[in-house]
Amino acid sequence: MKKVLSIVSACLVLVGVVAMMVAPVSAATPKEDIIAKAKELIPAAYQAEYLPLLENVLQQVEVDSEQAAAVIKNMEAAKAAVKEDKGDSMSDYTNAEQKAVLAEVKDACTTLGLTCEITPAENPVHKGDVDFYVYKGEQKIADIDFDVKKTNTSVDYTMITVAALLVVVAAGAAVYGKKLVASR
Amino acid sequence: MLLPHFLTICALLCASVVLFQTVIAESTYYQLITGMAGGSSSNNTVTQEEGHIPPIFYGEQWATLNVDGWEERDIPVFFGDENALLRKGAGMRFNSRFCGQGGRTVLSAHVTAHFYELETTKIGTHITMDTKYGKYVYEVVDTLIFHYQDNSALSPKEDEGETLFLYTCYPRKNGYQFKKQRLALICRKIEGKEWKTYG
Repeated sequence: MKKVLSIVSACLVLVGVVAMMVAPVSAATPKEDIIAKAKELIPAAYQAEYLPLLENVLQQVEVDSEQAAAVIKNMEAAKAAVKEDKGDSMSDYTNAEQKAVLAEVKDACTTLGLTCEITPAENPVHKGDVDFYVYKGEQKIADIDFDVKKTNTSVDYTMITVAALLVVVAAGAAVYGKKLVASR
Repeated sequence: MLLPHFLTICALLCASVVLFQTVIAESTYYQLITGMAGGSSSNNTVTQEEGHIPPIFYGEQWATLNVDGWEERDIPVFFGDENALLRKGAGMRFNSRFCGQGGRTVLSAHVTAHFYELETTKIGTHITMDTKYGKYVYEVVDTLIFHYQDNSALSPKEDEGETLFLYTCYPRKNGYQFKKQRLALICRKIEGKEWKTYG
């Protein structure tokens, strides 16, 4: 009886070990690897803004493990270029730091088959605001600024005013022309 | 002698160009006619990962918004909130979450158009987002008035859970004037499937 019990116990242990070996281990996907690294590198105070931004770019592209590894290297290099956390605005950092970080961002975009463009903000709210665009070929896949939107109207009233002034000039020139003709 | 006539013609031509570029070319009807309207190109295809929402491309209409009691119905919701998208409907802030991802979904729209009724919406009102991957229902739990330079108002608060944040210019009685304030409705999710994120 004892022998039977010990044989059965040994078999159960063996089955358990084999089951653990063949059980599927859920491996992280390349995109998950990138986000995991981002969580490690981005200060906690900024993650609520930057993680969704990064995920919303990644969900529009295919990423393999080689590309993910290269992008992770860019992220680590960008982090190394910034000596300390000075704030969440680009203008808080030196020109050298900005240049180094942007170079890594552009390189990461190239790895993923994307191009990016950073321009002074069209409607700056704060000093040094920038607009950040990402393209996949000709197609824009991201238009990022962190600002509160202008939501009063979609019509540009400055241009309407310019147009109205031009009409007034045209009317004035027409009247003047008529007077000239009349005086002859 | 010919100068006044020449000036008249030039000024009228310039005015026409400015008006066309500013108003007509930006109008939804013109864009529909010329095929400029619409979301992203269909050339972009990405595999949907298990447990994740299907890929949504920048500029794409991914949901329709309805608020109980509003006259405005079926407001299109676009991914992105650049000016061209806000002219067509509500825009989703790029660095916010989609419905079902457990975070804050930030939408903005013009007070002179789709979000005119935001100001009179009461606490307890239900809001429905019919997205391309399922229906979500939210309840208004709070309102917030903030300055247009206060970006931090758009960021989710800790332990906020899954919320919908709708904002527009305030107060609406000032019409088309530039406004320094924004009014937001903060809405808690009461129905809708949960999806994974990469983090």
